[in-house]
This record gives sequence, C-alpha cells and structure tokens, in this order.
Amino acid sequence: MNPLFSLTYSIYGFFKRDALNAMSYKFEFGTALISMFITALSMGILGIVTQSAQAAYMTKYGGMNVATFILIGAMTNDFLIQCQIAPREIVNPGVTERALLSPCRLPVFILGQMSWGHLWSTMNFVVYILVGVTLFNMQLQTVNVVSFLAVLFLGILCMWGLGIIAAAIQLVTKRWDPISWFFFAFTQFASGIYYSPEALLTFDHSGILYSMAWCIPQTYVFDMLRQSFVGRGLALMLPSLFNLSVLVVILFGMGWITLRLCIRRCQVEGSLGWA
Amino acid sequence: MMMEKTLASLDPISVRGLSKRFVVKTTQDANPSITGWFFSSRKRILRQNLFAVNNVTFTISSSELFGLLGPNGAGKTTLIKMLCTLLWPTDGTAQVNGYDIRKAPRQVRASTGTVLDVDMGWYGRLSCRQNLAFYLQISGFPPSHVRRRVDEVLRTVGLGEREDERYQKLSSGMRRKLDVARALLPDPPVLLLDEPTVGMDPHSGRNLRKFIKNELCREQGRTILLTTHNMFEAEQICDRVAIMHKGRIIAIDTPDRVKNLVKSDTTIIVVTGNATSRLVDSIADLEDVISMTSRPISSFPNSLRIEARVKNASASATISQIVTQSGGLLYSIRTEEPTLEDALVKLTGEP
Repeated sequence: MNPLFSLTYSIYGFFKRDALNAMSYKFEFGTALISMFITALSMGILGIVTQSAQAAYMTKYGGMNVATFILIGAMTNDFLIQCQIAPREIVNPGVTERALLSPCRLPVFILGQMSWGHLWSTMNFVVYILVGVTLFNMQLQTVNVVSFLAVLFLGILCMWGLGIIAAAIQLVTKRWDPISWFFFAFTQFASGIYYSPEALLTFDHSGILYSMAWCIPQTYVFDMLRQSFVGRGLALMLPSLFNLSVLVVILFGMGWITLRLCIRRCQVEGSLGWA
Repeated sequence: MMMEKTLASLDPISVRGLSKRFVVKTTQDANPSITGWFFSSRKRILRQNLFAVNNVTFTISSSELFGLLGPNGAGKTTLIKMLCTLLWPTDGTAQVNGYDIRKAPRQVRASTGTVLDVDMGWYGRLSCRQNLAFYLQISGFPPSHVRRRVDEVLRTVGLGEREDERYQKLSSGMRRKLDVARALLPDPPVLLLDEPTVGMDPHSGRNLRKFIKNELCREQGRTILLTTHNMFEAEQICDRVAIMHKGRIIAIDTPDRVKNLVKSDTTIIVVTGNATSRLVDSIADLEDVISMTSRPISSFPNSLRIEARVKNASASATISQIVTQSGGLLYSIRTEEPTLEDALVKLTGEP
C-alpha cells in the first residue's frame, strides 16, 4: 500500500471514530453548532460597541473595523486553543495504552487523535467568517491568502508544540497541566484577542506586560493574521515572521523530545494506563 | 527490519533473565529525637526497590498453550506487559516471535495480540464492528482487508450476530470476547491473554476456554501465554504451567507434574457410621497419617466425616480395614488427589 495513502487512511480511522462518536450525541452536536453562531454574533456586537474606543489602534491594520478585528482574534484564538488542547487526547489512558499496543506509529497516533478536534475548530472558523462577512462588513477580497495560510500554519505548529509539552507533562503528573493554564490565561489577557496589545500601555505604563505579550506565539499569530486580512504579504512582516518561526522550532522540538521522554518514563514506571 | 529478527531462538516466546524493578514510596514516622517536637508528626518518605518480576527465564514452544499462575501481586501482569512492550524491563530481555522486545518493539507488537486484565480503549457509542475497524485501520491495514478481517474475527469469537450492537450494550462476557477479537485482528502468531475469562459467567467462561484451546491453539496453531487465577481453567487447557510467586517462577512443568510436586499430601475422605473414638484414634495413629480432622454428620446419628492427610494414597486400604475391624460402617471412602490450586497454595506458602 502507498505509504502516503496508508498514513491518510490511518488518520482517517481516528477521524471516523470521533465523528461517529460525536454524531451519536445528536442533540449535543446540534446545540454546539448553534452556539458557534451565537458566540460569533456576540463578538461582532462587541466590536460595534467598542468601535470608537478602539479606533485609534486600528490604523496598524489599515483602519479595519473593530468587529472584524475581534472576530479574527476570537476565531483564531478558538482555533489555536483547539490546536493546543488536541494533543491532550494522547493522555487518555485507555486509548494510549491500546494504541501503543498496536503497530500504529506515534506521529500517526498524535495526528489521528487530533484530527476531529481540528475539523471542529475549522468549522468554527468558517462560521465566524460567515457571520463576519454577512453581518459585520468583514472584507475578504483584501485577504493575502498566502500570508494568511503561512501564519496560520506556523501558529498551528506552535500550539501543537505547546500542547504536546502539556500532554507529555500530564502523562506523568496525570492531572496537573501548568502549560495550558499559563498560555490560556495570559493569551486571554495580553495577546490581543479583543483589544490590541498596545492597549496594555494605557494600563501598565512601564511596558512590562506589553513586552511579555510579545514573548508568546499567539500575539504574533493574531497580529500577522490581521495584517494579512488587509493584504500585507510576508515580506512586510519579516521580523514577526522570524520570531514566530523561532518559537515554532523551540516549542515543536521541545514538545517532541518531552513526549518521547515522558512516554518512556511511564513505560519504566508502569503508569501508562493509569488515569 | 528482518535484520532485527534473531534466529537465536526458534521458540515464539523466549524470556531470559527478565526483571522489572519499581521504586515504591513508603512513609515512616520521623524520629522525634532528631527532628524535634515541631516535626514529630511529620512522615518520612522512604524509597524501596520492589522487584515485580525477578530474573525470570522460560521458553514457550510453537502452538503451546502456556499458563502463568500465581497469587495477586505475583508479577504475572507485569511480565505480560513487558512482553507486549508496554513496560520497559529493568534487566534481561525476551524475544517474541523472534523479535527482541527492547530492540524491535514495533515488530513485537505487530506479531502479538494482547488482552489485558482491565481492558480499555473501547467506545461505548460505537458498534462492535466500528470499534474493531478502528483498531485495524490505525494499524495501517488496507481498506479491503479491514472489512474482511473484521468480519472474520467477529465470526470467530461468535459475535457475528451482534456486529452492529453498540459496545455499551454488550454483556461483560461479550465484551471479553470483543477483547479477544481485537487481539486477533492482526492475525498474530502469538497471543498474550491476561485473565481472559475474568468476570465471565461459568457457561461463557467454559466456551471461551474451549475456544482458546481448540480453535486458537489447536486449529490455528497460535502460541498462547495465558495468566489466570482460575486453577481449574489452567488444569483444563494448559499444556504447561508456571507458578509465579513474588516475581519469581517457582515451578514450571505440565499441570500433572506440578501437582506431583505436592503429591505427598494426598487427602483421604471417609464417611463412616457407628464411629467410636477408638476408631478415630486408630486412624490418627497410623504412620502414614500426617494430620486428621473429623466432624459428625448431623443427618446420620453416630456418623463421622473423617479427612486424613496422608503421605501415601495406599493408606486408604488400611483405613478401610480399621473401620470394618472396629465395627464401624464404611459408607464411602475416596482419595482426593492434589489440585493445581493445592500445588499453588503449597508452593507459594500463601493460604
């Protein structure tokens, strides 16, 4: 069998399992879909309400309306959170033990375990764009698709790296996951989902929070995605692109090494199947 | 990949000096004289080495059904988990189907089907077929093979009629069958079954035992390592058994030979009427009798049930003679051979 087909077919196995499982809870599945629309709508309204207060920060993004700004932040944040929490599916004790008993390769297992979550967050992404375009004057004709996809891809890699580190730690500690907590909390606060990171300077004059915000990958992803929405190419975002790429290499590399070490430690301790 | 397969042993399972050590934390009250009154209620954490499996060596031949017996905590599950590569050994190694568990774990997994004692990884809302198809699909088998093989194993374990039933609706016996079905999916030459009949009713247990012995081992020629607490099960189906105790193998042979190791303790059970104290004393005084107990049978006046542990089964003739000579009525006399359970209790020294 063609190795690429074999890989895709294996990952599809995980996807199909989760899809069948999710769709067997029809009511929950339906309400989750409705929730996506309601949340997107409320984000757009938040943008309209805060338009005048945030207008000064929009010059960097070509005068983008604040509703679009917030919708991009919120949809990207949901997408990145999913990327970050998806690897935690690895630490489901029963599945991990069983999958490691099969000849399934570790990368296939990780990708497969994450596939359904990613489709779900992609649907969420599409719903936000639909709501933005139809109700809040989101402009898609100016989007630089290459920049948009490249930045999103780097963001996914970063979040996978973080998520894999968190999952690996949780594999050993079983409960505690400090990585996800820190990045979730700090991103909500400082990386620019609902307001620009520059707004932090009105609150913290020393600029410490602002500087810290640019140490986490989400800040770069939100910023560059918004710039790509107003047509900026990668060449115009080189410093940010470089910083994000460095973070990808560090986080993804660390994630892979940590996971292998933690699985080996569990195999030595015999705690792989413990909840 | 074939390079990693060694020809050092032609046996499907070959275990050499395998050990697994765990570090166990225990607490002890801190010494107040050293730590002072303030710390007197503190506990000191001690780390101790515990050998769950200690220098175990054995081989299992092709198409052999090998039973691993032992009390709780003997190390049976740890040994199985090392053989299926879920646990990393501290020392020694093993070859499964010619592949070293340390050097070629993926090949070991590909040629082994495992049923663990507490089997997880099932999806309650998915049917038997969907669950099995998932495990086969992620193992890299082509789509045409997945459908055919799932059909085959479902029929083999007798779940063909229930293929579309959700896992959450299956009885515990059926779930166990599905565990075995999952282990059979890659058509492995070696099966590692950790208490496969646990939690099953006697009828289902007997059917599964028959299936393991006749179908999987005799018909299909698979090599099977099975752990069990059920001595009857081991006696009934295993070609050879090993008794594990505190991480070590203390006896390994055919079930009959293992029982022979404790055969000196034959028990003779006599039911007698008109029993007198002289009769009981005479039996107790026999040289062959190691120990003896007697109790009256309430439904028959002056009747006794005497249980004598004797060195030699031939003592039953002497006991019969004593009963009749002393005017007693011999209702029944039978010799109880030691069971595998007796052997386990005697060899491990645990009640």
